[in-house]
Amino acid sequence: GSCKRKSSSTNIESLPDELMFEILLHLPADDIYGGAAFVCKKWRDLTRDRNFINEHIHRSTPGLVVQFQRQTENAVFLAMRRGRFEISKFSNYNFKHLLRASCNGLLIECDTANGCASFVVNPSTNRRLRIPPGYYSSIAYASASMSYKVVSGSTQYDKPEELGCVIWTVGVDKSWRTVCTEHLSLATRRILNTTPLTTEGFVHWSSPESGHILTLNIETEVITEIPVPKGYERGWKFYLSTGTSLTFLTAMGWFSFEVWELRQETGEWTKLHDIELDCQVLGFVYLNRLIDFSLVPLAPPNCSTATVNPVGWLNCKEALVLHAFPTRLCFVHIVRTREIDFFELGHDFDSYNFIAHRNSLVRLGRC
Amino acid sequence: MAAETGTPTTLTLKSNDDELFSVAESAAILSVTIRNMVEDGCAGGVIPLDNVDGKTLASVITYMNGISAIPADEEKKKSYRDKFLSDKDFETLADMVLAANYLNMSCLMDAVSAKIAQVMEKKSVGWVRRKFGIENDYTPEEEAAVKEEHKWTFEGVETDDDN
Repeated sequence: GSCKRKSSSTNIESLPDELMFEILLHLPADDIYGGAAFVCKKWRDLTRDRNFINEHIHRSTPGLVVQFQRQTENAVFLAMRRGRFEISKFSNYNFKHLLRASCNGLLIECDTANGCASFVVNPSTNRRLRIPPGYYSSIAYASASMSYKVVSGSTQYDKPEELGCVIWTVGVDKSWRTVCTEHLSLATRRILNTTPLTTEGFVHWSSPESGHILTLNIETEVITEIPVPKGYERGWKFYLSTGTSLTFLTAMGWFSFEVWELRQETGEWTKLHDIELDCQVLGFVYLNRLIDFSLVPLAPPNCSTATVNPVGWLNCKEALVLHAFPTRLCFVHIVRTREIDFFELGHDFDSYNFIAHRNSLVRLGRC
Repeated sequence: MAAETGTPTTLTLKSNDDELFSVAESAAILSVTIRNMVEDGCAGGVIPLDNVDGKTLASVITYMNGISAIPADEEKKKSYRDKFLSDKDFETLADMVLAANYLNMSCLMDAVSAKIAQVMEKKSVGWVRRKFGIENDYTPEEEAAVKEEHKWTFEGVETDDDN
């Protein structure tokens, strides 16, 4: 049914469907699901359309979920919107458990207190789906076959030689399937017990001081070993997903980083522009927090004990988020302007999850 | 054409309420609809734009002139667009989105759509209905059912309820 007009002049609801479609695409998923869908039946039907949902994913801003590990419901979403840094809450869903990974708005939630019972969750549409027991780890989207797959390293502590990988296609598989890892040496396979990162069509296992990464093509289900660039085998590497691609950062000084990005199709690394934080602003913010809010007096950031760790990208490398570990202070470095924004987590000395995420209306089971 | 002779070519556009507007060709061809007419040689006399009224066309031409005066700097163009739309009311925005669609101006279309959506963000359903003049066509029972459906956390695959 179409909405009736109240006014004779041009108003929003007299617009043709295809223009209303365009307008609603710009709304965040939470606003659509919790609001716009109730306005009238036309809007509900428009926003439930599969083409709308797919188009909406591409328009949504990739950001970062931050979750306080001891209070899992305290999760926030960081994003750059219209050139500005924003923090928002998840208004449609309360996270009950620890988050592990995200792809196109679907997160993996893992109940560590209950034998690691795990779920695929869309917090914007308040839906969740139970994953077969045993494993939990990562989720990625195979676009050609239009399916979501949950992937996990399958570790057995008593039998390290059986370290492998399992996969479960959402809505298709009854149970976990084994992914071939026989072509990989035991030493190479060792990083399969790390938490992998999801990018567009791939899942990557990495370790900060390893000379290689393992990359699973989610479509073909083939795992490839990719060496890190020459000279970077031993140094500490911060691996981050932009949502689309895999990057790693290495510290050059206390507040400057080299950035490398993986070309997933070829397995080649490309060096991007260095990131150099504005130390003066950083120091100023830090010292002010120290005085005003009695932030943990770790050390001023120009002193050698402070560690400012890169934890995630916002909007495909528009901004880099860094955590002044282990304080509650975080910095947002906007790459183009070199402006610094900052925010505070709940507590000092606590563990936080940082997961690349975008809000979407994607439905579980049928994609 | 303009670039070759050094004299800017001017086009005459006619709104659906018979107002005439002169605009530099270089600015007007931001509209793919107008550019196609120019390339097909149909732009000799007056170009009739049957779906755009004079008030809206005047506004679109202001935008065409403003944005084409900015050199290739996407940041500056973006801030011009933001400023241009900042004082427009709802009806004007609705007219603009129709005009941008008819004239095939994707950047303007995108900016106006985003602006309209921005007004809806974090607003109640009732507020959006009132502001946009939309009649609630849900029966109370239907509305309760949809609310209930959206409220619960389902554990299982959703039913295929669309086509």
